[in-house]
Amino acid sequence: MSEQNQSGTHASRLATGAVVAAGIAGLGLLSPNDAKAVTPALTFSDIPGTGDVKVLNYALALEALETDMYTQAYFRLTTGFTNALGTVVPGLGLTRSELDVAFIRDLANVEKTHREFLNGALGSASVLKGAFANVKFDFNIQNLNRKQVDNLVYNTESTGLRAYLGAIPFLATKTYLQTAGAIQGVEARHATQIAVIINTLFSSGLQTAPLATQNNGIDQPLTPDMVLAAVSPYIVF
Amino acid sequence: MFDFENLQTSPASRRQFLATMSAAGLGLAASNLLAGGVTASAKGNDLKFKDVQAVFPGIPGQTINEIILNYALTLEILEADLYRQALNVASGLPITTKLNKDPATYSRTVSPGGLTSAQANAGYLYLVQFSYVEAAHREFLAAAITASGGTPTTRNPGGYRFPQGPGENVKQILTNILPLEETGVRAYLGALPYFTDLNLGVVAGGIYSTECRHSGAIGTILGKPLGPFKMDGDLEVTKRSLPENTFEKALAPSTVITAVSAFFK
Repeated sequence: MSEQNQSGTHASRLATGAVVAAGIAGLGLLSPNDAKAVTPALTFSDIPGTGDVKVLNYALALEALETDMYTQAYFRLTTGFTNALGTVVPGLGLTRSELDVAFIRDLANVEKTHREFLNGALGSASVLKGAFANVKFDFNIQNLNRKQVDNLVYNTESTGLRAYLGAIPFLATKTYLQTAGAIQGVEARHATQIAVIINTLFSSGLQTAPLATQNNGIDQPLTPDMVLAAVSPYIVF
Repeated sequence: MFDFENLQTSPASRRQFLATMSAAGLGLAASNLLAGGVTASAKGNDLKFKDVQAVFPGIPGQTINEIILNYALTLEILEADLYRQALNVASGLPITTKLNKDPATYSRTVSPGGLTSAQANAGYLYLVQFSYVEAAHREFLAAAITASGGTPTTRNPGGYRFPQGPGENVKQILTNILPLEETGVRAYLGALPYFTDLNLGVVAGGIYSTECRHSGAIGTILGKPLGPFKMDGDLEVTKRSLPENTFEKALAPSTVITAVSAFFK
């Protein structure tokens, strides 16, 4: 269970932090050395909303992270860029025809669609219009080599697919169950497809799916708190 | 590795298998599996039992959830058998050979069929791995239904076959396997809303997730672009018009039941 901060309830912690960070960024004072990952780690109770809205906002927060991760991964592998924190990220000079680069470019568009779909569905209740309005994501990507970038993609998708499974019990109704499942399945495909690509490029021997000896070949859920603990190091307010 | 062939005929072995499922922390409360009631987290749009029977024609079960799990089991029995056949052909074994207890005994004997050697080796590895996974899914569902007091459906008495044969090389075999996985994906997604207990949705979702993975792996080996792609009969789960590779598709249970009958001998 997360602890209440001194300034208020769990639900207000995101909003408070975001407002403060946005204010600092607006003054141009936020530099890579100042930006720090949210701490302590976010928990499900920090996600705005209740019932289905809360679950959708949780999913949307993860899709926002994934979309940004894919963009950063693509530019790290290719031409380089300056990230939202002002860090210059050199490009590794790969061409768009490279197996992983092409795949990541395509995946980025899919994740963007997921993000925009959930954002639209939530309307004014969207976490991207509130607590996550000015969120940034820092994956330390400037220090990752090609294989590490690809593995970041793999690990993120692998976490995402289990996150959706773990969110199911928190739905208040079945209204969005099938839609969430339709997104989850795509995440599962992505995780496997990038694993195949990593194995092709680096002979890594990554598993593409649970083996029969692993939970009877069945993907296991991760609870929202587990997921948020895993991704909080990447979230910067 | 469990001897999945033995599990099919040995109640004692299935009880032991079920014990390992609990130990693995799947968090499956067997007593909830077939509860006919609606959990607080599954409110909304639940059909009556007779309505669900009509949605899943010919699938046995005394409760809504048992029907859905037996629907899933029907598919897993089919998939496991066809994967076994495909693996046997790819390994130079008689097609009727039972799944060996030890996956390490298998080795590829057929040609890549136009795939690179690396693709063929990876594709064959997936064929081995997924054969055991589908058998595990089959036994998991059968054991779970039994443990909850339900009656698992049984295999088609005449057996199963690929309508045009499994294929003669890795590429052909994987090409013939892929539609099974894609149908499985759509079947699970189409059935998901009918569960009256979301905890079962998590379990079924976990199996569905691996079906998606299998489709992704095989499709990538075959050089297909990023899926999913529309198939005949697909139901879109959103009203919005979105690129087809952004959301998985569903199939109505009746469509799946008709489609898989083509694989029945």
